[in-house]
Amino acid sequence: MKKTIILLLLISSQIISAQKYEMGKVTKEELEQTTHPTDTSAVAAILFHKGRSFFEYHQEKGFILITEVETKIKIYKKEGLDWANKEVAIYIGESEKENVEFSKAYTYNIENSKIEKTKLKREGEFDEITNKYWAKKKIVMPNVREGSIIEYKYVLRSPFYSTFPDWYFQNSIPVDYSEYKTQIPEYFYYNAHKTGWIFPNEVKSKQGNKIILTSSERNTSAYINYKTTFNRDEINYIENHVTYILENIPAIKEESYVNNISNYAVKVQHELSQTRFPNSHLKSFSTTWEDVAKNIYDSENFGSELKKSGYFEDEINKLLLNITSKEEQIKAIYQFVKNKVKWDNYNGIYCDKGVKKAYNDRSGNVAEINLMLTAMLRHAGFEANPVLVSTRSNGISIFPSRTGYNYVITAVELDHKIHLLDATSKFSTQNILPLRAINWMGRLIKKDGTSITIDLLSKDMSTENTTIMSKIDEVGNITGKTREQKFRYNAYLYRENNNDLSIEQYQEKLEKKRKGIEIDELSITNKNDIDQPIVETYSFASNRFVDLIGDRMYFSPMLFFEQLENPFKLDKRIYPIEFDFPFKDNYNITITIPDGYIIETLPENLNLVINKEYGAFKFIISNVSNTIQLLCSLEMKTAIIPNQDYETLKLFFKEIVTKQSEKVVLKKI
Amino acid sequence: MYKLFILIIVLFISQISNSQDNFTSTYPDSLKENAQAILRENRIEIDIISINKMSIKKKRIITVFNELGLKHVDAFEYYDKATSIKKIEATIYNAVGAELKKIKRKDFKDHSVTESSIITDNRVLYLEYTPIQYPITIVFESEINTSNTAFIPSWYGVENYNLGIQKSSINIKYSPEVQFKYKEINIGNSVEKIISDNSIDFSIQNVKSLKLEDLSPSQLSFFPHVMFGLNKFNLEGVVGSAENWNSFGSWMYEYLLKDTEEISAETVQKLKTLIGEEKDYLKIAKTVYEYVQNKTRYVSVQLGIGGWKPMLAKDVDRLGYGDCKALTNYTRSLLKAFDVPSYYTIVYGDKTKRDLVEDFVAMQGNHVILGIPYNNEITWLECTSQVQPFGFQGDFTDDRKVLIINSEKSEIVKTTAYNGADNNQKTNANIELLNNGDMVFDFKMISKGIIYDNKFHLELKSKEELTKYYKENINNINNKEFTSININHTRENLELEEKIYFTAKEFAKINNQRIMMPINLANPIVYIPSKYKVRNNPFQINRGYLYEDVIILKIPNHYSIESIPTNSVINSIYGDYICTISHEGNTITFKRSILLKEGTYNANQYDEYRKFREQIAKNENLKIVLNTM
Repeated sequence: MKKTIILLLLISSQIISAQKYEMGKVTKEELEQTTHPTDTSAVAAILFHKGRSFFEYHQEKGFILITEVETKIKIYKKEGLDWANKEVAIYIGESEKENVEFSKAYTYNIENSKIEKTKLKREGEFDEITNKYWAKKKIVMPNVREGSIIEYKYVLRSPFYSTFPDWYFQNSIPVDYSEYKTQIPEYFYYNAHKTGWIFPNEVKSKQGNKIILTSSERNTSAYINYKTTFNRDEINYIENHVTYILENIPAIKEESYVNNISNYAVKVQHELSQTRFPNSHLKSFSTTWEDVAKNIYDSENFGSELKKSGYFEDEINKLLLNITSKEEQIKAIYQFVKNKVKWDNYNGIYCDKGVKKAYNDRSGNVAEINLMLTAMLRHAGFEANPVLVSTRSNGISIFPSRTGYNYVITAVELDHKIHLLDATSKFSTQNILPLRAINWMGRLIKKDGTSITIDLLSKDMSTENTTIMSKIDEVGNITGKTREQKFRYNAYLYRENNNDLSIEQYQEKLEKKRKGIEIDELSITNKNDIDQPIVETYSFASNRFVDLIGDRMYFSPMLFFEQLENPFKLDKRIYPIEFDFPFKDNYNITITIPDGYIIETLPENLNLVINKEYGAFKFIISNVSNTIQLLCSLEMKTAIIPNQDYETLKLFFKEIVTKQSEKVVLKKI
Repeated sequence: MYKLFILIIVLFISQISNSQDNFTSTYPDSLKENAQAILRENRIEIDIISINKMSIKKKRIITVFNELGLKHVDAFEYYDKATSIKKIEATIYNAVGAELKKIKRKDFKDHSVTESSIITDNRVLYLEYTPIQYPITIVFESEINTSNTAFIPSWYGVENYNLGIQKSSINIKYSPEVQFKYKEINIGNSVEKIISDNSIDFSIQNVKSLKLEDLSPSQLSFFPHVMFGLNKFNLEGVVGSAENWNSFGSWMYEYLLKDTEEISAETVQKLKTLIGEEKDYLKIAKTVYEYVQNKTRYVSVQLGIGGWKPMLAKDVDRLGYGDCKALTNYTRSLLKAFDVPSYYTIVYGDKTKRDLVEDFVAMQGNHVILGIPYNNEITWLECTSQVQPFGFQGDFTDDRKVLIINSEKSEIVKTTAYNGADNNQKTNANIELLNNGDMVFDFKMISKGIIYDNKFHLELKSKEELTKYYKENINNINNKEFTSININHTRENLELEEKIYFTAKEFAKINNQRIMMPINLANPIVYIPSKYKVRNNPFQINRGYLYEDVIILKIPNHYSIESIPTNSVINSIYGDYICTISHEGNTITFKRSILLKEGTYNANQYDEYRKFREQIAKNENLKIVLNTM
């Protein structure tokens, strides 16, 4: 008896929830709700988001991938009104095109305590041809205001079944219910991969389906005139169904020190791994990272391009004629490619116009440039291989997928060590890759098509040494000279951001950055000598760092390098903290105090180590007669720190800010 | 919050000439100073054949020195139903004049003109080229034909900062029957003008590159340029009149607005219940404005008559969205149904103030607002905002010349100005240093004017968002823990009150014999504009303000005041600073006011102004020293 009741309850609750997530069932209660129950900041919420991807067979076109999406959105605040506009981009670049149609689009409001329903008409649908390859369908829902609920459905039909749509359970507004169902014929094998910190519930089943093929023949014999006979073939196959369900998913919010927040969004992605059609061989696309790499490698636009060498041989031979050192040879080739071919700002793992044309045109995409570089290094006798990378904006490819990679760099071996090169930036050097390319792991593909993972994050410390020699006069003005030496990434970033500025423009920029000083005699060396650190020297004067109060002077010995604010202000952290690279900032500051003053107080020394060896801070201050010397260093040894250690990191920076704010006190004698 | 409607005005149009390319020849060295690029030659030829036929030819030769210089290349053309591109091509040369690449029309990229949600029919052809080396010289040539003569491109003798100009010229030929006119702005001796029969030329040579400096006024206010127009023009098949603002306004009303005003009886009825017996125009307007704010949203749909005709009021009513024209016109139509007069008003919407050029009657502006005449004043309404308080204009359309369109009399008027003390914030702070070294802050701030404009959105934020906001915005105090935050928005008075209560943990090391802290812990104003060896541009204080702070600071009993700053007064033509400091027992009272006046000044006054700000900053940074003795 008890069991029955429970069972009944289960069934009835299922019915209720099923109804809740059907289109057209908008309740007064939902419309009257003024804030989201769990997130009062939410400007809108997705009440449900349901998708179904399935296949349809067309006699002429073959299998078409169809994705139906049904969405119900509640608008809570005026800032959320933009959620009533929706656009879907479709690919139109080939003879086979994608297509999208909206339907069942309604806005619901309460009007005189009754539910009022407004239909989206043709006038609210817009088509845009964005460019040669892409188009957009846009809808603008009618009659939407604070409190409205909108619903729409769209059907996306695509002949490109190798590109399965990504399903995001999480969004920038809360999602109350998200459901995604895939119905995939036995002929297709997809790898489904989930990312994010919560996982959807998953239900699998199998179901039969069939394809009906018809053909017709016309008989034109002398006896039976114009009679057509129809043939009908039926093919039965199995469909694999998977339903993913996730409820009450909080909004994903931007945080500082996160490279790409969508890396952390809860989602499922599908990657075609194999097709096995009746009467046809198994065709493998990607199942493991090795397979992915091999597939890319075997492609015309990758492996074959990499093998070409005739177009550059003469020039490379000439280039290397008098260079004997292996290291210098690598440098020479690296520099040669950078000078020869400029990056056209397009990413991609495949060549577009091909290495040869890129070489002759002197511009190409990242694959062309770095495959060319790899080929040249091989030609010169090096063990060089391409490395597949996912850029920061592309997110992190944590499962085997071709679309998981969108960038190629080069790895070259020297003295049994692997060095990473990227010739798309003229300022990158060995192992100093543009920031876009440093995104966790890459995959190095060897000549035989096998591959291994390789860490892209720089492990080498990027140092910055700042030396100040300064003097305070009797009214508290401070003058001095600064020398800043920037190594590795610090030099790379300096060059990327400032090399095109004139010295005068850079000086203005520097004065804005180093608040409170006037700069003179600025000089920068090694701007273009990328193997050397950037050295910046200037003299400065300021009347803003010393407080002269009564017969005492007070100042922070960090002067204009004092860190005034803790970069970590929030109480909680969900995502890891990502610095771009490990770094160490060293300060050596010498301050001569004015005649007639003695040192009354110096801040105490501090030696701070953050747990797990993430970083360290040192503050050592001393004086010899009337000269104060401060040695201060801040070091972060790892570029990524897990969110569990956020509290500690925040505290670490709090101590730094406090220590640096402490004043030296001078007293008049 | 506000969205402009995009007018597809081709700014730098261009053209061919059959003269020999001479870009490999030299240019004066002085042009290279501060330059990212040099415009070697810019030649625009416009032929106005009739009021509905115009061709524009452009030839633009530019030498680019680095990546930053690519923004001056401007190798693109827009097109639409009325405008076709007859020719577009470019050739790239290296430093010694050897040809690197020819880019033909088919290699120009074709793209819709869409940013975010904008819906329009306009498209653009643009050059996409990756320079292999610098410098490069790009020769761009284009030719377009258009039936629209409403927008004749202006000529900019100086186009931008960091661009040297070797030669730039425009020639306009016009048929005698079109009533051609032009307006010179900031034209000094350097511009040469040649007037002949039905033709006019402007040219300029060897202009050194200008540098963007802090507080520079808008480029248009001091860069030389010339505007062109016709008294009768064609806009997408509609003949317009621009003899004077009144006739222009009448035309606009007649062709763009008049037939859009119909409102359903049902909506009128609905509003009637809201308005009730109210007879006062302004009160009715407030009801209607708030009705519109709650009913509509901004969507940029720019389709009618080149983007100039608003959607029908009844469509806005039905669909609940529109662009600035549609929403303004809808509000106007609703008011008309209740016999409340209001003006559809054309304006340049921008945080930097920009006037419509009063003595040049032509299509101008990029935004539309609504004006309600009342007691010899006009109340301005921003109809694209769902949150703007009634009657508050804000810094997007304030204090500038606009055109009111009225079926009877259209004219240029000036919008509300928020001057000096109109933009004010009064702060009352009670601050106490506790015995454990924590500092407790109790702030109350009331803001008005443009300061209010930047803050009234706080009303809509959740508690969590507010905490985040204050954690990041009160940046002179570290380690804050918030106890309570209250925001009170009084829409009738257009003022916002913020009450915040927080503790700064471990603010002072209480064991120390001596504690030093800033006297102004609430709202120190320490901005100092950058120093220039030679200041070239004039400077502008765009909007003034008045900050009045009263801070009462309590210190622990076992400390006494060792040192405390003295009162000070700084007066100047730019504003006034007054601060008074007193103390009694363990309570310190700090009162200060900063008044900054808006205005535009010459480059040679810059150092004086900078000094004024420096003195204020120095005062704002003054410290008190406490001692246990």
